[in-house]
Amino acid sequence: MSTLELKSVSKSFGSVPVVRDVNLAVKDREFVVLVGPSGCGKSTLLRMIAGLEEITEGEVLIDGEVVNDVSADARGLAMVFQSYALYPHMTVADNMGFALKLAGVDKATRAAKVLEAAKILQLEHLLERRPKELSGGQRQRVAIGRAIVRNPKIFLFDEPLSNLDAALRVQMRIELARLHRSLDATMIYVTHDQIEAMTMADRIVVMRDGIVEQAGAPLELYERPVNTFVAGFIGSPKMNLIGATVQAIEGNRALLAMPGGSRLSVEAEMPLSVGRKVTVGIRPEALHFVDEGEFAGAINVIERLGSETLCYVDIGADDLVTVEVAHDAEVAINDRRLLGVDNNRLHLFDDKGLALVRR
Amino acid sequence: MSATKKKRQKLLRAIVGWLVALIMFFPVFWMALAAFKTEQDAAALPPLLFFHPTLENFAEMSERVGYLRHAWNSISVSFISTIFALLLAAPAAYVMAFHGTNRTRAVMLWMLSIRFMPAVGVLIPIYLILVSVRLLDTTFALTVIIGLSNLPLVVWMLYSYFKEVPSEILEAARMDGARPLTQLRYLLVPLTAPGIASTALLSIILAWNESFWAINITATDAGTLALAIASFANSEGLFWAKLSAASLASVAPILIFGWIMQRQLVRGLTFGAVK
Repeated sequence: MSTLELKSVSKSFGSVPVVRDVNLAVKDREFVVLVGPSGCGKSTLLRMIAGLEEITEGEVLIDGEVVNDVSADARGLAMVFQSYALYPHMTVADNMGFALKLAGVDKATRAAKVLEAAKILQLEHLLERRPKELSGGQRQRVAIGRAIVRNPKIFLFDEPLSNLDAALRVQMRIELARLHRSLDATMIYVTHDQIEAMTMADRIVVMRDGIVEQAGAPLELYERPVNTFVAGFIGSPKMNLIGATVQAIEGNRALLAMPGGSRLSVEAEMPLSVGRKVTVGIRPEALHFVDEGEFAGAINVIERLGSETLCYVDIGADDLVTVEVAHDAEVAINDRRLLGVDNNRLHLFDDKGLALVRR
Repeated sequence: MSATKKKRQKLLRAIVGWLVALIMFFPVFWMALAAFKTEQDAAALPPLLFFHPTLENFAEMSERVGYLRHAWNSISVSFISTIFALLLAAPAAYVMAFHGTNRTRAVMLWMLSIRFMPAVGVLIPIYLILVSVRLLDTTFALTVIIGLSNLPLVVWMLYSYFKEVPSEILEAARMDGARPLTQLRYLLVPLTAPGIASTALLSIILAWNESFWAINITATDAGTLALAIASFANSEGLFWAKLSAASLASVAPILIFGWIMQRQLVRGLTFGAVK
């Protein structure tokens, strides 16, 4: 059983706040991913949990005990760094067994534990090599192995896959997810890559400017983002966010004036009033080409990805609107098309970017 | 440019290079020759290039100034002062490299500025202190003073080598349970060994060549070779052969030592990233 709790945790470097009033409870065996753009404070937060960074305000609790003043090694956590941070002059076995050696574990036990971890990660044949004789993926495995050997209460990962090439990243993602299941461990994972967050997390914590914007299960964040930031950050290709004004309300429908003269009729079950400025959020897969309507634009760029095709449509707004269509859709550049929206997959945000909740 | 022209230029450059090198090396070479001449041959005009070599000068010089005792003092002062400086500098460099504040730079510059200060400026206070604590003419005092005067340089060098070690490696070690001294022992020292070796080498050479303090605060008991030559020059006047023998005998050990260690020195000075 290993749980982690953050109570109003804040961090400032001098007068610059980097983490502000973060509250989070991580359950036993949960895989939590902290995600956000660079500089959002996610790595700092992880380092505070690890004990590498002092906590300016608030409390960090592991298994219900406050660990603010407990040193990094005594917290019983293990961390995997972005640069792997392997000890260059030690063999793989020595790297993995270093913590045990410092803890005074005898040689035979150490070797057995290292071998056990090496087997999980298929590193047995590399134990006598040094880090510089390994590939990037192997180094990453060793770094993970070094964490496993310590049998930590919680695993911490700081952007562990960002130094790997794309193909290897996909493979390691799967391995990490599998590892999480087989080790039955609590894991906290930091990344700026929302795909890693979506694919591995039990729960995603989206951060910006040191603040937690939203925390929840991947699909919850995808389907019900609380603001335009989360809406735009989660999902690839990105959600289209278009500024609009409420032009008229007729019965249970509202007519939105879109940029470029287009108009979009939506179900007005949200608190809308004529003249109100809103942001319309539509995922590319919730948009399609239709035969009639008043929401129109010309196709500007076509990306054929193989499994699907992305059309970037100029509706007269600042940004192009992304529409996801079938891989073999018959589309051509400069085609003027009408756009249809799945009404129940449409998001509305107020002028401050906060989601308007359905009544 | 034609091939022959290129060749000629190369040859010209080689000749100039050799010429400059020979001019610079000549005094040392002449001294080495003179050391093996009799006084008569050494003073002969025109100078003799071919003569019957003799070791008389060395024997006489050694007997008169106590070469072995001074050599032993030189060796012990340079090695022990270096170890002393390294032991003090390593923790200082560690803290400044990995837990620096915005004043670290100022502290580093301050340390270096002390190294720039002329030693003669503090000669009298130090001399008086040594008199009152009865440490005048002891290798202990000389070792401490030379060690401390090399300290800024040693800190600076170790600092720059430690800086090369990615801080994430030390953080990983912290997570693994390594306290600062453990980090130094298991990580920083092995990872920057070439750098530490060249730092030590430089410190040994500087300590060996140090003459100001040796001449001023030591005499017969703790005197180093630097003192030996100085005193020899005074008492012997213009006995070229013996003076040459004394000089050669005092520079030879450090030259040979440096020559043996030069690969280590170059490796350390060009020591790059530990990646």
